[in-house]
Amino acid sequence: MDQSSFLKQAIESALAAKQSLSFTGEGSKKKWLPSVSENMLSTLEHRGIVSYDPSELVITVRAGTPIRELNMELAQHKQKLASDPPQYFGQGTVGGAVSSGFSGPGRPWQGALRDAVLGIELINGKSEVLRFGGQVMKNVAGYDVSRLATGAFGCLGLILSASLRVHPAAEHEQTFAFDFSAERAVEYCRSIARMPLPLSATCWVAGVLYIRLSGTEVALQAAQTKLGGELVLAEQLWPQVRDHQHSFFKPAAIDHEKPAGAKLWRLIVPPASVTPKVDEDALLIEWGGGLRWMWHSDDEFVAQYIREAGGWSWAMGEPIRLGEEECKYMSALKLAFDPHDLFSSPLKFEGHG
Amino acid sequence: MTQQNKRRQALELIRANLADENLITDTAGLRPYECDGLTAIREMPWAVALPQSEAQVIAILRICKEHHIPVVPRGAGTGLSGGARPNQDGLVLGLSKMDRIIEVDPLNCVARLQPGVRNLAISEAASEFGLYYAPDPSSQIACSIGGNVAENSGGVHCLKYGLTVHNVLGVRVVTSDGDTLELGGALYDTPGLDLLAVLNGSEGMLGIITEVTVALLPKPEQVVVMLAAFHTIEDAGKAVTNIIGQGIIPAGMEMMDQLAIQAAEQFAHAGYPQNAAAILLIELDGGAQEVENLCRQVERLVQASNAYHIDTATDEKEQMRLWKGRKSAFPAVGRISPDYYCMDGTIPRRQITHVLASIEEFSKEYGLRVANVFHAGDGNLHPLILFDANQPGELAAAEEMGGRILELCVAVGGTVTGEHGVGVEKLNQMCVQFNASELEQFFALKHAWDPHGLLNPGKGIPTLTRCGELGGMHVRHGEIAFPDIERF
Ligand SMILES: Cc1cc2nc3c(=O)[nH]c(=O)nc-3n(C[C@H](O)[C@H](O)[C@H](O)COP(=O)(O)OP(=O)(O)OC[C@H]3O[C@@H](n4cnc5c(N)ncnc54)[C@H](O)[C@@H]3O)c2cc1C
Repeated sequence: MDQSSFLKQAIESALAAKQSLSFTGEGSKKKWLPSVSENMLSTLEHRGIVSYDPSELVITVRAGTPIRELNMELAQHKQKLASDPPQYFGQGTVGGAVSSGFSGPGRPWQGALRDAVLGIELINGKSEVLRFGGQVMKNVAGYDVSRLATGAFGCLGLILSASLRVHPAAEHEQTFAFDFSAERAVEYCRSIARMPLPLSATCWVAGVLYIRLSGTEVALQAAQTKLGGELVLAEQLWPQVRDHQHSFFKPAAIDHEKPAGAKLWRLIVPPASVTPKVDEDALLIEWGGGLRWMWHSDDEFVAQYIREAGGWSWAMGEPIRLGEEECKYMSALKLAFDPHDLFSSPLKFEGHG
Repeated sequence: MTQQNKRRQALELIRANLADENLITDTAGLRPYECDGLTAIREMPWAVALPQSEAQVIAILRICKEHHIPVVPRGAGTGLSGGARPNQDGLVLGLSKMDRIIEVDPLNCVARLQPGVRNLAISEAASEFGLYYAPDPSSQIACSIGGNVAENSGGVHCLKYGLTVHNVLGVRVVTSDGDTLELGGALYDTPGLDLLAVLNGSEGMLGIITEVTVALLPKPEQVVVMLAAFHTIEDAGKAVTNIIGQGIIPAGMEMMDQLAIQAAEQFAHAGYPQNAAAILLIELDGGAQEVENLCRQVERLVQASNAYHIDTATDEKEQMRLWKGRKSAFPAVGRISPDYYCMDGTIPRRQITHVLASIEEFSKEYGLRVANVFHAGDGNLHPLILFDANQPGELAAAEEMGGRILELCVAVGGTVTGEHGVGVEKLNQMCVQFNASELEQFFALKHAWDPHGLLNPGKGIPTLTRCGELGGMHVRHGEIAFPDIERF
């Protein structure tokens, strides 16, 4: 149902009352994010598919639409989202996915979520409804606000709807497993990254490297002979990794195997970087080496690792740390969209760096 | 100090930071910089600086800020929308001498480049590792990676592999305040707001790109190029929709109409069928067996859309021949007409036939020929309007007709520019695509990066006054676009 005028009114009232506001869909990512304003505006009622023409490879959906609903519609036409963002077993909404900008396990091969965002409709901090981008793949008219707003955690405004690029679903998908150490797994991932293989995801966890291939039957057959490994059933594995529901992600408070006080770190590093010297149980590696999840209780250890490898780290649940110069431009951009600093968001541009 | 003395002082300060030959102020030396690839619009710059390092870029920007001198960034000057057209009181900051490939890193599958590196040089350098850089504008032998990022350029292979924005993992950028930001790198995600995304396609208006990290892809095992000829444009358009509708994403899918085919054939002798109303060039890539299967499938689909002639090239030489006609289509059209004007609208694919038919009608109405050669898979049109600037009124007619084509693109759900950018050329059409609040939002975004408005002023986003003057004829979403602005 179209609730855009209700949402616009809610923002107008907050603006008039000078009361800060934040947005929520299903709240499926809450545990990863620092808390925000108590005054929550929910997009859940603003849902539904606005337009979808399979031959155009694009779908336009309202923010409150559950990703599950979207995927069901796409599956009927043998299509899927070009990027496979976390959906928390279908509970996550499209608005939540776009606002947080997390990409799924296929990131290096299928693109980031922001790559798939072709257009958005946004209410800014002046309560204006604005449209940027559109429904076509190639579009360079004006600044790319659609992709800027992706992953902005609502700090620029409320995303009302988004047009997302979709892909034909692969005919076949297979996963191969290798008993590898973390180090060997990264090495192997880097060596196959240079080969023209239909790779679509990698994950190393608990001493096993899983490699997913997606494509036609003949393409998979040809790839398998080059790859080796053992064909395994992994229908559960990929959604679990994508949705951060794999047992690896269980908080230290519940999982007593994990060292007390360990934080979950998300490390974005050059994919070929060395693996951190930690217990192998404390690591999960995706994106051919480019994304590493690590449980660790010593912030300085993590900082040292990042200094050496390059890249950045985020302790889940805490604010994302940003450099001073970046903050200068990010906070200026935030104010460009939200001049009264109405929207409270887990992204903060001051106080650390 | 008088304005003139101030400027003289600025020039001396800039000179002190550069090797002598890298600051140009004499008329003969400035001449090559008076326009970019949009040659109809020219202006002589005040001066041209050609820095050789990021430190020099920073120093120059600080001097320009101090002295309020506008800066127009320039790569190779192949842009087609006047993005690098100089300002008479501004400095052209040419990045062509920063042209070093800093590193090809086969382990991380990336290359680090200075902004002046030519697009084609990237794939050439990556080739020894079995890798290549996917976005391939037709201008790739000349255009620079910095210009590609600033325009978010596309190419034949963008249908499957994405545009520049999808293949750039990091940039270093210097702002008009002289700050340096390092965004991304050999990394698959950036923290906080996605500044990297918004720099792609920013047309030199937000910052100077001083380094680019691009993703490199493995070269495909097998490539096949297929030419399919049709008796009507409608059939060719149908074939495009059918192929994509069947879940096939070719590496590239390009269309040329009869005038473009004939021009290209005279120029490049690619063996195109001269009487076809339209041809499609379809590139398929993947594993050997996979490509063979795909080929059969695509052949059936184009035949079902009444293709009367199919030519399939499996070896590299034959493929080069088929592509040569397409890649030289612009210069080829330049041979058959004194001037041409290149449009760049994108439309939903299902509208291709309808829009091409309307363009044909415009062509009759204005008495100007149009050659169509374009990225059909992406719905990105490039109608080339043929005219003779020496005939009074023809340039104005071509511009007006071009404007109407772009307005039609917006009306059918598309956009005024798919890859060439707005520059100075499409400012009027931007008023059709965006309303006043949206344009103001763009200006606010620009202000956040460049508060003094020194970088490429007057480009990319039209002022509200300009749109107001164009006025009430533009109707969007059933509303008048600029109700609040006084009409003149
Ligand atoms: C024959 C021909 C064919 C073409 N085919 C295609 C095509 O297939 N696809 C396509 O997308 N384009 C095409 N183009 C257009 C053009 O080549 C591209 O836009 C290209 O990316 C421009 O690169 P450049 O280095 O020449 O940039 P320039 O023309 O010098 O500059 C373009 C814009 O980028 C800015 N800029 C340049 N360098 C920097 C920098 N380092 N930092 C900040 N801003 C910068 C400039 O200010 C300007 O606004 C074609 C042009 C020609 C002449």
